[in-house]
Amino acid sequence: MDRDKYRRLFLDEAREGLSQIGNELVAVEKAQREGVAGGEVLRPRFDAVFRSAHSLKGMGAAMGYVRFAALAHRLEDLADLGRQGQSLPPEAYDLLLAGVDVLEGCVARVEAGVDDPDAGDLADRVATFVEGLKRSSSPSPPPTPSPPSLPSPPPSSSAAAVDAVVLRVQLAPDASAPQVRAFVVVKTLSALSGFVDATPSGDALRQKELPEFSKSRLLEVRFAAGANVDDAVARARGCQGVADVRVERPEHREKEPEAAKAGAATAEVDRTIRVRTALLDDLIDSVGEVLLARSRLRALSVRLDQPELSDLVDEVERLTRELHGRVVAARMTPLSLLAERLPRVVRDLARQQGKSVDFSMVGMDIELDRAILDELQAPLVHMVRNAVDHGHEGDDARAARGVASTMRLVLRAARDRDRVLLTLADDGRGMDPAALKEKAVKKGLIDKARADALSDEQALELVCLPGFSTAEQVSQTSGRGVGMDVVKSSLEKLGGTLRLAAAPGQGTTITLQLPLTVAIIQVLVVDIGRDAAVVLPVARVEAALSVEDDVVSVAAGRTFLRVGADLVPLLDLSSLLGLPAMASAGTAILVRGPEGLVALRVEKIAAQEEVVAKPLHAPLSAVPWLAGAAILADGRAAFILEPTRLDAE
Amino acid sequence: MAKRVLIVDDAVFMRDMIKDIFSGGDYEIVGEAVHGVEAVDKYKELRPDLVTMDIVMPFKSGIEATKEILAFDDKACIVMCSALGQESLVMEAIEAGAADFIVKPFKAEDVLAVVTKVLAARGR
Repeated sequence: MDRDKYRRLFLDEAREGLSQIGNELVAVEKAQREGVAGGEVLRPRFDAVFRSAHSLKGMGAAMGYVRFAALAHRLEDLADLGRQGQSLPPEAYDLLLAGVDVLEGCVARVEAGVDDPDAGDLADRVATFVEGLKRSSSPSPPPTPSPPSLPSPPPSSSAAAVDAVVLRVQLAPDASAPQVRAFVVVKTLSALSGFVDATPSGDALRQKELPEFSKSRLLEVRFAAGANVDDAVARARGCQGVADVRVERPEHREKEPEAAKAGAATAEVDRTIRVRTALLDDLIDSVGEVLLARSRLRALSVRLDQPELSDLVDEVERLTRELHGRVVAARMTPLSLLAERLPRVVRDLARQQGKSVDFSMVGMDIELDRAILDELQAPLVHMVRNAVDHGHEGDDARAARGVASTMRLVLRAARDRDRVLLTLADDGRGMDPAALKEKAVKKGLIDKARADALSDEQALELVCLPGFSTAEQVSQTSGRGVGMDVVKSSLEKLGGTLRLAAAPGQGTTITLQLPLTVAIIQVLVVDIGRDAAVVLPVARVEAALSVEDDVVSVAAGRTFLRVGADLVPLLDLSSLLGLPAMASAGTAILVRGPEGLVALRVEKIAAQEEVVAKPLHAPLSAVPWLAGAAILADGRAAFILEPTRLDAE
Repeated sequence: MAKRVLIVDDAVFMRDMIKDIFSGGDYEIVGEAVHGVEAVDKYKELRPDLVTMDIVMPFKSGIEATKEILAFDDKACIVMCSALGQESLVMEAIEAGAADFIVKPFKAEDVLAVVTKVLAARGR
């Protein structure tokens, strides 16, 4: 047996399972706090915890990690009680979560090469606890009226669906807006006769974000046994963004043993391996080289004029484009991967400090380059800890201030052109600009005159100075100043920005603006004559306009373009770059320069595409308004312009 | 025969970009509309094979325009042009009968792939 291969699989799946248990438990606690912890809410969550613990036990035993398996077994027992409707005291959750921590530690040691890592004495403690709970609950009957002893069958095996033919529709990993894509598929298929239902259903796809689905991108559509399945498959394949459609007929499914189901379920979801970011960097560089070689091949085939060769070049071109797309997609990772640990971070700290916090996350299916995700991890953890530690002054103090004792904390991600906005907002006690100024002066970080001159907004930025802390004493958890300094510098390293908004008693909002990728940017390719092209980051482009004579005016030796009621300096991009004048220049690109809007005159917009930005080396790196260079999809090389550093003179 | 296309978008930039994408010869841009009201009028006048419909526009949104066009002609082939974050609006439009959607920023090949598929599915 290829032990190393299985070890890697174990590492990935165990981590996935543990993180799922953690999330489910945090959700259960939240439901209980909100008083919505009915059996129908808790049951599926405990089912999931039970299944994960069960799988962990099996995996651990298969690998010979007996102590790992023993602890997983005890956690399974405890989750089983919850599953049967027994109400669990708070210590039960602490034990379960401690179990997750210990098992995570074991996984880390397995990764470091330890065989059968030690899991401490927690398994025994959990076993004793479970015994105690069982004794205290019997002989009186369990609290819920009729807790079934077996998990209730999932909706997919309802009577109507037993004979159903299942279409497994897999969406492509790079299909944008996967939920909407899936909705189109469901809509298309639901119009066919024999359609039974879909998982996720059309309604579910419409009504809420489904992070699991965004990860798996797998849609199951059931048809009655007699339906015209071939037609359904053809229709599904005809939908945009569908990568694969598989048909599963009942006879194949029935053979699946019940016991193997928990394992099989995880096997069908994304099987993942970890890849070093550096390897992905190399990969994208290599693809860049292939693109270059391809365009030389293209030129050669034009010169030789051989149809066979040119067909082959077409094929190579198609394949390289596909390859490029896949490598780009491989680097993109959903925020959820990093965010999934945050509820746990918040929960642990809040519990430790005896504070009530309602934490929620929105938009975590948005994908970012993994290099950015890696860098973002520590700052995000720090930010949420800060919010709990400093934003929340304690339940009683909040109540005394006349606000709900539970602090709301929301992490929200949204796309903004080729950037991502990440906002962490709390309704805590906020920050007082005057107090911040006073503190900064007292600490000797700035002098009084400068402090007085700061606006409120600027005063908030003081927390990002190294050596600043607003807390009376830097707590063990998070010294806000120290952390924010690091948060800000990590962001800037990524090419992002940080903005703070806060007022006393009004909560704090931190907005991070992030590039989608480090290496790959969305650009507008513009032709500037004689086959030369330059590219502009889409994020810097305000608009594109056609240039007619009647909107151009000349004043004081300078040319202006009339845009609405404004006159915007109109600059010829080719002459700005010291290149020969363009034959025609019918288009102007509006960009924001160092002194406001500037219109750049170009021949035409050639394309909008994603490029791999390559850094420039000396002497070109000394040119401030060149951000880098890129190979375009058509094989041309082009400079990437940074309009904010263009000198209009 | 070239497919006749009506482009609906309030931004010149987007209209130009879509025009460029359709400039290969298989499509003919028969009209442009800059808001929902104009979109409905132009549709009735031109009866195009395909409409590319922006969602957020002045006077009448792309969703409302889509519903009105489909009420007028239930065979209308409308592709929604959405941005990320407009998922629920897009699904509303598709529920109402829009054929498919494309997401900004557009890539020419994606747009053409979607359009080719929806026209093929409608036998056009």
